[in-house]
Amino acid sequence: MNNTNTDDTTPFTTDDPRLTGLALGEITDPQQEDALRAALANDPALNHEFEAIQAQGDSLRQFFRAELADSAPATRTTTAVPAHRRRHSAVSFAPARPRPPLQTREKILRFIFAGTALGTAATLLFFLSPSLPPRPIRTATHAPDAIAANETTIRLPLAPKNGYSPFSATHRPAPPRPDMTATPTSETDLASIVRRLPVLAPGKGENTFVSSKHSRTTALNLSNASQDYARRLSNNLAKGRIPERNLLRIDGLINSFPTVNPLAFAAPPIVLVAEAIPAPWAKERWFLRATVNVNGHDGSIAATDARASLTFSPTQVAAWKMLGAEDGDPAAPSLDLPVIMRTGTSLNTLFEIIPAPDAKAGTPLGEMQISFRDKNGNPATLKVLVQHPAPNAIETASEDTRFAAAAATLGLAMRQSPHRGHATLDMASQLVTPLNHPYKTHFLNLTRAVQSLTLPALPTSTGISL
Amino acid sequence: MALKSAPQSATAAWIDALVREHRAALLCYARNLVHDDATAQDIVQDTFLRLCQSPPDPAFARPWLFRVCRTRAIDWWRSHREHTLGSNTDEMPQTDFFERLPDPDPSPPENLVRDETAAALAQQIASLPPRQRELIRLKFQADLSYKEIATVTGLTTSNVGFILHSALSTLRRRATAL
Repeated sequence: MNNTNTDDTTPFTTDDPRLTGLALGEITDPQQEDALRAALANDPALNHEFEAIQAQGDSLRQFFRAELADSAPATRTTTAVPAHRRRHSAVSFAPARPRPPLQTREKILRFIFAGTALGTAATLLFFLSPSLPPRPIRTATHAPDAIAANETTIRLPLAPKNGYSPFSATHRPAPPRPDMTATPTSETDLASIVRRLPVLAPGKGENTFVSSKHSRTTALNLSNASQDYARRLSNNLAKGRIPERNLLRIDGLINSFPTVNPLAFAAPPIVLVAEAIPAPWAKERWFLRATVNVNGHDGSIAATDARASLTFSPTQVAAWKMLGAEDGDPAAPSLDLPVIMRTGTSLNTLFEIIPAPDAKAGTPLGEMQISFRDKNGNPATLKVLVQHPAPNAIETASEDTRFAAAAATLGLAMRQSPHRGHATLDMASQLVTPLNHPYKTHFLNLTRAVQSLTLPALPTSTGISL
Repeated sequence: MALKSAPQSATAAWIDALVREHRAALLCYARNLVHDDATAQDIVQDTFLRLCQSPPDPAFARPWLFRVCRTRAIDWWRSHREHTLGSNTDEMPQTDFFERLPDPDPSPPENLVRDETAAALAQQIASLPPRQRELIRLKFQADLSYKEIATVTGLTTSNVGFILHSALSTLRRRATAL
């Protein structure tokens, strides 16, 4: 090696950069390498040092490989990883993740040149649209009978006893139902965009359906890290920048928008809500919103050491899949860690369910549970049963669940998920349009912003993160 | 180093492969330079955008990526410092830039501390001077050669060898002392 300041003719010592160079395979001069190896053969101390450097190099590579592995996937913990987020799950029966054709990637440079014009158009659209309204102050002025049909709610004090409470229900006027049989169109469907999005790296893909016979319990999302996700996505879209597919997050979309269910912010400090409806994008499947609401709006700590979970009944649920927190998503919330919950938060975890063949109406689909310590450090547990969806439950569902279904539809279409069924941008818009949800306008603007990004070609890898 | 453009026909697939191969390492490298996750992601994103706009010679793509990433990190530090400290760092030569910066996060990444050995190694690496830490990472995480590291950092190849030798010697000494 001529790579050090050491004179090549000086005798080799154990503190010689050339020895390090040899151990690391950096010697390019054959004569120098021969001289070094001869010295190694004749000097045990030198040889010992050489082997120590090699071993040290191996240790460092191994150490940094672990860091690389931790940087890529979402599953950062080594224990208690939910089955749906394990790679190559033995119980998974989802089809292999499709990869976009190579030729679509060859137009990447054209996208760069088109980016300026696109960015201008998207920016205009963004700024002409109403901005995200401030989060509403949650009050307890609404009557309990405002709960929608199929919404099962349990309200208990902060230190309740284990067990169930009755739930109430009411019906809402039926709005027009979105067209469930809609087929993608070239202009409005996100498929034309997303199929050109980057090929996901190995291990970064969609969650798969998990058989409830093999894995019936999953942790629920209690992290509010997604609070600004929709705003960040909007900002990127306005600039003509579309994130990589695995960063188009359903959990981010839905948890950017706070729950508006009035009862959710009534007197009980912590409220669990579980509501199932037929999945708008797949007739034979169900969509489930599992929400943990923490009453109040001052941001004070309401509970510590909180963990939430959902257990499916194998007799009612053949398989389930979490929507969001996708496998390999680097920004996915960690579901396995206990968290501190503050007042004024509402955290949703969404699921798609394949019903069991013998599923019977009136039999609970499963049970949602949260355990935590209250402000005084006392342990507490809340539970709620998840009820069957009514056949036409979309029309009678709560605003929050219909909004969540729209967000899931948008996310499925954007991600070009193999499980997206009939999910399209139009369907997401149709689901939201009849609602009085305070974030409806923002959601529709977001959808339009994505539509505006339909291009003849998009890069296979944008490198854009949120 | 003169960088010429890659053939257009091979660009898309080649860029795709580069992104998939180096993204994680670049992210770790950037994170170590700026000590901020979101900023590191922005820097890596900008690096790949630059790759799309001005693809380098494929033979030098790997050091090119890390060099661009490093330059972006330096730009960020300059901007950040101007905003936070009100000082102008433009006069600082790039090669010494990170040596002059305070270390805002000397502790090892929490998720690496899985056992005592890893914790000790992480602590030892974190206690090295910034320049040595950077070269250790480029050598053993990005798997760059001395020559490639020299391209990235602007050091001479001899300097790279000497600094790495010093860093490894220090780590071995500290490990023995434990």
